[in-house]
Amino acid sequence: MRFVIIGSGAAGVRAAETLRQIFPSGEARRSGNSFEDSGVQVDGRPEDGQVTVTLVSAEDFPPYSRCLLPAYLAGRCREEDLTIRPRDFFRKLGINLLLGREALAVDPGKKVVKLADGEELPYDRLLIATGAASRFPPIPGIDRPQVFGLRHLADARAIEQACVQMCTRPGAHAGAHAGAQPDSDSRLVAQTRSVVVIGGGFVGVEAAYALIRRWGAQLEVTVVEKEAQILPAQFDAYAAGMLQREMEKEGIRFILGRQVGEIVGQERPDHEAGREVGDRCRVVLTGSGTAGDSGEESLPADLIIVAAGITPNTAWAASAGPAVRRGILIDDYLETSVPGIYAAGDVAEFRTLSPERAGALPTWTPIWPNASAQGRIAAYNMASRRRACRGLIGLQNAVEFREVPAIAMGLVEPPVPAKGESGESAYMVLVKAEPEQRRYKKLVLYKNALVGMVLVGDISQAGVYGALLRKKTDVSRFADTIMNDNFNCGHLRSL
Amino acid sequence: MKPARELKAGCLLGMRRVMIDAGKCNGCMTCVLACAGAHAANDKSIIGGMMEKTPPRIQVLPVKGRAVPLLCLHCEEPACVDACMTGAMRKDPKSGLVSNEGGEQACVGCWMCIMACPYGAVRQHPDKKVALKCDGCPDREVPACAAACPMDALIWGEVDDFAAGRAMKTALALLEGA
Amino acid sequence: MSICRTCHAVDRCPSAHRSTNEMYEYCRSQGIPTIFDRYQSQQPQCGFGMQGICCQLCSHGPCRITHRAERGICGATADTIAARNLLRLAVHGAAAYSHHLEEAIDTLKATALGSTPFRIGDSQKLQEVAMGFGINVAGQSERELALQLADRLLADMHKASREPLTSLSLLAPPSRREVWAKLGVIPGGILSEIRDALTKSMTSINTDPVDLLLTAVRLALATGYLGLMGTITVQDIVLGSPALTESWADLGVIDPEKVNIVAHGHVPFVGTAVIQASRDPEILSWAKEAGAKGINVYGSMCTGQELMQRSAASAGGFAGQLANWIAQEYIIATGAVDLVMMDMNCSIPALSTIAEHFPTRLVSVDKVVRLPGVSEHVDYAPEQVAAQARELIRMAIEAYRRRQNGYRGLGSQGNHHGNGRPAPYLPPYKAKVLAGFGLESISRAFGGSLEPLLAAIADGTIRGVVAVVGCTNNRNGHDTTGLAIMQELIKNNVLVISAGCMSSAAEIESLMDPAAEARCGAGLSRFCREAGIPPVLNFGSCVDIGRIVLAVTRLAALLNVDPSRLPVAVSAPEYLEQKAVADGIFAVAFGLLTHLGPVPPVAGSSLVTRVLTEDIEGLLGGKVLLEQEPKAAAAAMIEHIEAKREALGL
Repeated sequence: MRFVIIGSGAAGVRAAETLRQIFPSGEARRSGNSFEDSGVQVDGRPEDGQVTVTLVSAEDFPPYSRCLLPAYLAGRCREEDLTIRPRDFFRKLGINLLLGREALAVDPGKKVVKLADGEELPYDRLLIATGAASRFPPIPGIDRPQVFGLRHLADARAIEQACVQMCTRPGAHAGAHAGAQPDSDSRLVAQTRSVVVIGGGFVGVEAAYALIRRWGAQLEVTVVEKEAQILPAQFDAYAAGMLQREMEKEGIRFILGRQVGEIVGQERPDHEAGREVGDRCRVVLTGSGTAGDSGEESLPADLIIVAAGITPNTAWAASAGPAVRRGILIDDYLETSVPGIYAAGDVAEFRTLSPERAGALPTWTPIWPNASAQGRIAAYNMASRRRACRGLIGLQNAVEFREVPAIAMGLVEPPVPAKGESGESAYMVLVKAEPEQRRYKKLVLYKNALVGMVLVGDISQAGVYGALLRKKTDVSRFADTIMNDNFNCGHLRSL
Repeated sequence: MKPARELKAGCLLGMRRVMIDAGKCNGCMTCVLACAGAHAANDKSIIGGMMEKTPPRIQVLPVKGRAVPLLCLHCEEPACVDACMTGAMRKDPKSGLVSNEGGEQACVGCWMCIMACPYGAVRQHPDKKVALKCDGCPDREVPACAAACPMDALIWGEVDDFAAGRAMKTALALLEGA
Repeated sequence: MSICRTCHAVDRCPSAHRSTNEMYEYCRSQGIPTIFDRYQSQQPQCGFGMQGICCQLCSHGPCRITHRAERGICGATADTIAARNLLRLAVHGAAAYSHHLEEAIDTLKATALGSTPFRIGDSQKLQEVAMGFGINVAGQSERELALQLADRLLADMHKASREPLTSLSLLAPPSRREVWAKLGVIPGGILSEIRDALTKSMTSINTDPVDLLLTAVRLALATGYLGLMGTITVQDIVLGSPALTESWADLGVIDPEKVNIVAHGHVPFVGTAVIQASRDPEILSWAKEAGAKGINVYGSMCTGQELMQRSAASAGGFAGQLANWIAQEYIIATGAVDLVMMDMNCSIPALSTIAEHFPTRLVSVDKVVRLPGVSEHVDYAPEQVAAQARELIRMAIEAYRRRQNGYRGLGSQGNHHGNGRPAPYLPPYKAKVLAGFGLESISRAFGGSLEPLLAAIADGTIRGVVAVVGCTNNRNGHDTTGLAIMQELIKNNVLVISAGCMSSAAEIESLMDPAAEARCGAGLSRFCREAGIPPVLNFGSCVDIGRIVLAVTRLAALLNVDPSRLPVAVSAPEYLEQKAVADGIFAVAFGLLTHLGPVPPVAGSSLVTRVLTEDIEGLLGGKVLLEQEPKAAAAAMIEHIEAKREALGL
């Protein structure tokens, strides 16, 4: 039995290791673990019951965590710290790891994956876990050399390199320049380099925070977000405001309610002749902004990071057959429309809105824990241990800025009833705000079930609330304690 | 179709675990002190833990005037391992213990595991930016909490059918397939 | 328990009072943790301690009794440990009461000698009591009588344990004395009894749980007849006996435009002196000079009850009762109080923590009261109290000036509102109170006799009387259980007498307003309406439990029965500290059914629990009723009252 997995992110790695837990290397025929024993018809020809697990990655770096890239930019970890499994992990488990090998196409008829170097990988079961790519909005000038995404190690390396150049070359901030070049232009010496982050979602704010922590006052970092708050997809406005204030204390500037209309080049001043980094740009803003917005029309930018969301990497897979909407469509068992081909992680999108997934649970759930869980459950299904994947919450995330941790899940702002709609909202919102303590707690209930949650400051019970949310538990029986500081899983057990 | 749940419960059988009999707990917190002591750097006694201010990993939670001990159940399919984005959190294939310590990958305190654990068994380390949880006392014959409990509310022993079934029931009720 | 409606959260409200809940939310919003937060962070609490089976007396300990270890290292059983711990609690209560009594006696002496601002306030009582003590009253001056009585009382306190207490033989019903004599629990001097009890409860001296419990009974009798009844008698003689008067309660009585002084604790002498001084035109002019509209002296805890009870006499001008034990921090958190005078007992250490955030100045006014962070002391000395009162008011005016200049306290950060005057936070609630009840004032209210009350009890208009007394406790919600019990009782035509922190609870919730008759059953409602009294009668502070005992003693004498046969009961629904332990044991020894809300730390001993809740009734006529649920507790007391009525043929 040949298992091939394309993509070495959270889903791919978790799937590969789970397959090797089910079929330990070299012991595939051990009783109880044999694939044939499961009674599933096998098409293709497993060699002597042998199971192979092959993990293919276009990137030439051992499987690593994209979530750690901001930590890398902040100087908190080195490249080798980004890997998510021990050095000899894949070899020991018997996973065939192919790095720097891009998959170009799939031939579902022949059951082979065609690699860029011409090799054809035969498979019996295929998992597409190719993830997603940074989305570059169609803005004039977005292709300028100063513009970077932040998705891959290569992106992070490029940003890091650009920052090093900006902040350490002559003409950079005085702090990095002590003693050198006594004859240089003093105005130039004092010049601060400007970074503009387009998008105030998780990637954007984490990137901004990382750069400020690493480079401090040498960089002036501005985040431009088109919504009226940062982290609009996960947090409500109040919590976002709390987190924003923490980051502003670090010196990050936020421009909310405005979009980037264009990125234009700037004439190179004579005295800056000889700069190695690309020219300084100007980021032209559109929209009217929120209250307190300075109303400026453009921002200077030496470096631009685009964090405007991601696009699933579906292009080559689509050609192979699986139906695609936003991502590759999968059923509850993570199988695509082509039998034997599965998909998991950021590239995948649930095909149907089953009744239980309707409402707060979305069809596309691109975050690490979900990708991991999908990879693991996909592995079970690929091994014919049928297992449905349910109850993943898409809109959730955990952050921490300036030692203020925050976690949000689900629907954090109930929809406003349309004007003229009679009757009370079926939503109930419970809030406890203690801004002085930098603590905030909000629960959103829909017909006695928890559908959303925001915790700032005290996050200790986030997982317990998450379990209630996934299970759609009727919480009316502990309504009197659910907002208490002492609420915990023991309250559930006593039910 | 072979339900994975049976498989999971089956895997637990025969393993040694700390089992909780919450009805017997009287909230004396001896387990909390013993846990802190067991994780002290030098003097691994209750006094040593107090002197070094070692944070405990077991919690005794207040539930409507009653005390309920909570420690990591070392789940068969740990949500915290799925959630861990550095690979630090892992389940040891032999002992079955789940821990974010001692491996090649380091915990960076992203709190994804706290977000994922349906029991609230993972917490923030009070001083360091790492997640803190029960490590199952791998170097001890009997985990410190169970050895110290004067009420037999924490029992160290082989997981029998009853306990496994009860643990699974609770776990599944909370996890529901995820 | 109520559900909070004062904030946006759906937390369960910590208190039965709106004002307290609002203050709690306000403090939280200011980032200041208060009692309810600390209560939560103490949860869960250790079961060994809760059950009274943890012994920490020697360095072998702590020993805890479990099914694996049925004895401590020395061999002590759960019964020994629980009984010994209980006795040690009662000793603390007895000691604090005797300290209070000694201060009262000193004050009586100094007053007789003319060196206090007080004048003998009840000379009739002085004569009666002096006569009781065998002093020849004929032709003696007030001064002579007072001096001799003071000496007799001091001598009674200092008697050896083998010399029977005179106060007891003077005040106790003969039928009771017989019962106690049979059990060998008639005490000697209270100081000797304290010494004996402490000696017995040392490790390895007395480990017999039954004897330890009888020692507690003996100690409680000394506490009752000296610490309670002795103290209130002396205070009545010096400051006047309570007389009916109107007053106000709750934080809404605070006037931020005045110099605001709070008398907090249990001993009313400094508070009375300050109220009297605050009426002095010269001192008032100091306040006016500082820009204040006047000087207000408020009460908190039991000192407040003492002042309120006598605001028709020595404490005229008393501005109202603010709160009880649980809510003491919130008095300071209003930001409108200039000075708190802390006399003996019940100043929690958190007072000084919260005072850092507000302009309030904390001053201890008793030599035994010291708190970390409080460096100003004006320790009560009877001969100097007139000058001390002026000094305290001067300090308060100083604090008032600072408050007006925008001072927010040492520890407040981010609470500044520019340089302007800090805005106080005052919940706008206050309740009217008819106070000043006692044997004398009740009979005065009924035209000079208790006959109408007896008749109402006899014909069933009033089914009986329950004293709902003692502390306040957060274990089942601040004042929640106590108020629920009071309301349930009056609904069932049971007259309620209240003292201590429970009085504050009833005052704030308007149960001591005559209009509360609308919340009673038909009989009690009619009775209250006709007499113009509320259904919950304020008997004053917790030491005034002695006043309740004297009233029950009189009732029993009028009916010519032992107190244990009366349709009455006692409830300490939220008992908290050690004085209440001594009170509770006294009530049982007096022959009364005594309800306790929080379970005392004896549940780990089946013997002690059984003795207190069952066996003791055969010996003393009273017993402990343990019931946390207020309706069930009220029902059990009503059932007890009905049984007693039937036995009396009523």
